[in-house]
Parts: sequence; C-alpha cells; structure tokens
Amino acid sequence: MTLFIRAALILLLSATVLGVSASQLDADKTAITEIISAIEKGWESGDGRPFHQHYLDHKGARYIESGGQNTGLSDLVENHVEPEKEVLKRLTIDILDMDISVDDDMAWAITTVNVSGEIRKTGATFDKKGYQTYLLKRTGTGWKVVHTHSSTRDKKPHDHH
Amino acid sequence: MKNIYFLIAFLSTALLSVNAFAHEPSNTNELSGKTFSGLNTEAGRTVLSFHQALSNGQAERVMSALSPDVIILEGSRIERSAEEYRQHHLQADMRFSSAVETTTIEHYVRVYGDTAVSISRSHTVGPYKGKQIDQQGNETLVLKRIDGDWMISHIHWSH
Repeated sequence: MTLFIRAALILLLSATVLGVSASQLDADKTAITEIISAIEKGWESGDGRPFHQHYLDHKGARYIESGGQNTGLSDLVENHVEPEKEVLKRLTIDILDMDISVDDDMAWAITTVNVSGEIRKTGATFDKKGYQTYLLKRTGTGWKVVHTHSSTRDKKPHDHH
Repeated sequence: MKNIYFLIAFLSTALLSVNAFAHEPSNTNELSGKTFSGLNTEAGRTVLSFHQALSNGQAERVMSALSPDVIILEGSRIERSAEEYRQHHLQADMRFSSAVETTTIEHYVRVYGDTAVSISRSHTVGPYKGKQIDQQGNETLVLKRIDGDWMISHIHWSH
C-alpha cells in the first residue's frame, strides 16, 4: 500500500469518526431537549406520564426544588406533579435558555426558566425566575433523567449571605 | 483498491457498533438507597475537601477543586467561571460557612466513568449578620476527571 493511500485512508477514517461523534452529539442534545420540554409540559398540565416515560425510577432518586425534595419517582408524581393540577389554576414554565453537556453516557442540562402561575383557592399569583439542573444517564432505551434540582426566586432583588 | 473500501466500511461499522454498545448502563450504583455512599471514592474525597475548605476559609483550596469553566447556580443567580465566583461570592460563602454549623443529612457520590455526581442535603443553624439561620440546604455537584484529577464543573445550591 503506498504512502498516499495510507494517508488518504487515515484522513477518511478520522473524518468518519469526527462526523459520527458530531452527529451523535447533535442527536443526544436534540433528544435531551425534547425530554426536558416534555417534562415541563407535564409540570404545566399536572400530567405524570412524561415523568414515567423519561425518568429512571431508581431507589435513592432525589428531585430537589429549592429547599425541599421528593424521594423517588412515585413520590414526585403523586405528591408533587399531579396535586399541583388541583392547587394551581395556572402554571406556566417558560424555558429561556438551555445548555446541555454530554460526557459519554452522562449528560447534564441547565435551563433558565420563568415560572408563573395562579393559586386556585386564593387567586394569588407568582412570577419567579431561576435555574434547573437535569442529570441524565444514557440507557438501552435512551436518555433517562436521574436527578433534578431547581431553584427559583421572586423577580425582585434579594439578599445574598 | 476494493480491499481499501471494504476496510473503510468494516472499520466504520465497527466504530459505530462500539458506540452503540457504550450506550448500555455501565453500572447499577444508582440502585443504592443508602443515606451516605460513595464518599470514599476519589471524587467523593474531592467533594469533602471542597466543603471543608469552604468552612475553613481556605480560598485557594476551594479554587483548586473548581474547574476554570465551572457553572455555579445558587437560587436565581449564576456564575459562569471559577474566576467570576472568586471575585463575587467566594469570600461571602466562606464567611457564611465558617460562621454557621452545618450538619450533612445525606450525601451520595456516584461515579460514571470520567463523570461523577454528588447530591447532598444538609441542615444549617447559627447566627449570621444578626439573623438566626435555621435552614435546609441542597447541593448538586457534577465533577469531571481532567488529567487524572476530579474537578467540580457544575454546582447547584438551594435552600
């Protein structure tokens, strides 16, 4: 095999590997974006199905919202997602920005969100801004959420420590 | 030349197959529901050292645990690098951490290849700036192994 053919072969293989990696990364980010969008819609409508579909139901799972947390998928859906449909007349989650990092079989995403709504019983409204962290793991059936952490504050200046 | 085309096709298929197999779950650590786990791993020790440095007011040790491009979320604020954190909130966080008493309620560290996740919950009490602090806090960290060392690349704090 001539030197020219060897060099061409190496270049072609490198381009193939880089192309596969780039397209895989794009596919991963698209899949994760769709998962997070579906979950946010689940929150808004009080629908637990996207959570059952996209979360990895594992012992020890923690889903944190500011100072509180739900332990396990059933706790999250039955004691948080679904009851909010009754408590809140309206819940809107606007994703302003999403930054996704993929490292082999783990990924984490940061979303910047506006969260607004109205409490059914009192008519009180809220309007908050904050961030969400999603940790996801690649499984044989696609990306699954293994942990979430969200924190929001009222849209007004606040004190730090 | 036919052989070269065959070789390219074979290697490309093999590379794709390797990538596909890599998608299988690599471990079952997350099935553990223990209150404290993974703290004796290298990643776990990095996290504990980071916490200790914050409480002891050791700024350089805190900084050495952070990846330069770390993202730090706390409540509704964000800092996008270790340097930004050093300039803005590091001193205040160290003053707070050393003034109050924090008890860790649960803490898990899980390692997935060159990525590790640390999730912890704590209870903080004590006086600070004329107020009595009594709050529960949550922390999510993502660490990456860079040149053999675990570095914190993502922090989410809330209380």
